Amino acid sequence: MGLLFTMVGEDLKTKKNKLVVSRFPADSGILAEVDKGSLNVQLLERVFMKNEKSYKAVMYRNLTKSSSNWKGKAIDRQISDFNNPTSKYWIKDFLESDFSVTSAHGTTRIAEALKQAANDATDIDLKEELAAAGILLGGFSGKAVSIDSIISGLNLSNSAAEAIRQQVPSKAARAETFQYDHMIFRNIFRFKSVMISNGVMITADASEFDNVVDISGKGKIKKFSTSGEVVNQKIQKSSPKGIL
Amino acid sequence: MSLRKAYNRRRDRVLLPVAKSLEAHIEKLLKTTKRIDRICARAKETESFLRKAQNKSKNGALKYAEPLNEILDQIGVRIVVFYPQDVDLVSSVISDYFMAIETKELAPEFEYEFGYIGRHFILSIPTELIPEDADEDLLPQHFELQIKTMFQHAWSEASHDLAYKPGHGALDSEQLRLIAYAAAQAWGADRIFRDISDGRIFQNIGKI
Repeated sequence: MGLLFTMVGEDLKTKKNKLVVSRFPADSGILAEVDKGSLNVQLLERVFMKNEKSYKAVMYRNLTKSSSNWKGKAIDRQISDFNNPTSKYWIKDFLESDFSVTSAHGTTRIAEALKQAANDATDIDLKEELAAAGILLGGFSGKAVSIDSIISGLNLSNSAAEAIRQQVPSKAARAETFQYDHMIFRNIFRFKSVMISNGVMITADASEFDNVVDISGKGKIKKFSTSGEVVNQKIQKSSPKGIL
Repeated sequence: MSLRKAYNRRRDRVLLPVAKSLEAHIEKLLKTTKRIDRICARAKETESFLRKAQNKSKNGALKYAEPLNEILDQIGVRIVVFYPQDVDLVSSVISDYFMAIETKELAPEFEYEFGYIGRHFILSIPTELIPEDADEDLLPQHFELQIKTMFQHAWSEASHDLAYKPGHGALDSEQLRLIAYAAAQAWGADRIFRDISDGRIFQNIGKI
């Protein structure tokens, strides 16, 4: 239970209707009032704000005065989980709203950004870091995330974070929250590539790479071995940049 | 600023480039979807917008108090598919990837009437397609997407062209009857192709 504030008004600049809802956790209290020479004391339950910094809030703006379509921005300062910047309970159950980006769209956006960033990376460490990020994202499945929260949540290096941001130049798009779906992600981001110093590149399904490629050797020099039937091969005219 | 000038400014600066990006975005989403005849996006023509802005409600008042904000098909996308079942398949992909604020199945009111048929969506424009420097005041939040079969598309294009032919008056009773007859034939053709494709294409989809 908590204190609920609602405010309705008109944006002076845009002349559009605005609705603000905020919800704070509250505690019980005692109200004492002087009433005709006597003191009236009442126990009021759950009326005092417990913590002004722990709240949920949303600001909606309707797109046109005649429209019932409202778009808003929500914040949830009652959870500290970086994987979960806004609780689904607050958005879907309490506000009966939904994210403006669908699960498929948001997940496809991060999958394509990560895949392209990995393909474009010429530095093998960066390529590996981005490939590893693709595997770690499995832990986000079903959670409400944004590209920004994924970047900070995975604690990526500056160069990896920048490589992803370059693929999604829109700041607003990177900040949009969506429900992450790892099945969709896996359909797009499927490969892990390793480039070694003799010019060979090995590529396999990221989640299966360690099962199908044996890596041995100590220090910097590694031996990679794998076996299977040749199902496809091609020769590229230019020096290899992507997948062989 | 007049409505014409305001719309022309919006059309040139925002609607045309966003329509182009939207077309490419949807083509990419539907890259592996079969039996799509075409995907085309357009920014609404100025004359068409101004004509719509003058539409009136049943009580005689203007239908749109704020045409620039309330007319939602300033950007329109049409996806034309081969068979009626493909309308459902494409709708499913679109619903997965876009936030819909409205979905409508347009069809004549009575079973014995024939005319416009189509599935319409009002969808949010994906944020990544909006230029970073776009003026928020010029930017519509939504676009209209239509999914039609080839016969529905052909009928609506021809009947719209005839109905809004500049310099000609409204269609007369006989012409309206003939256009309804053409709609019935388009409906019948879709039904025939639906039935044949049901046996030859769509029965296998569930088995894959």
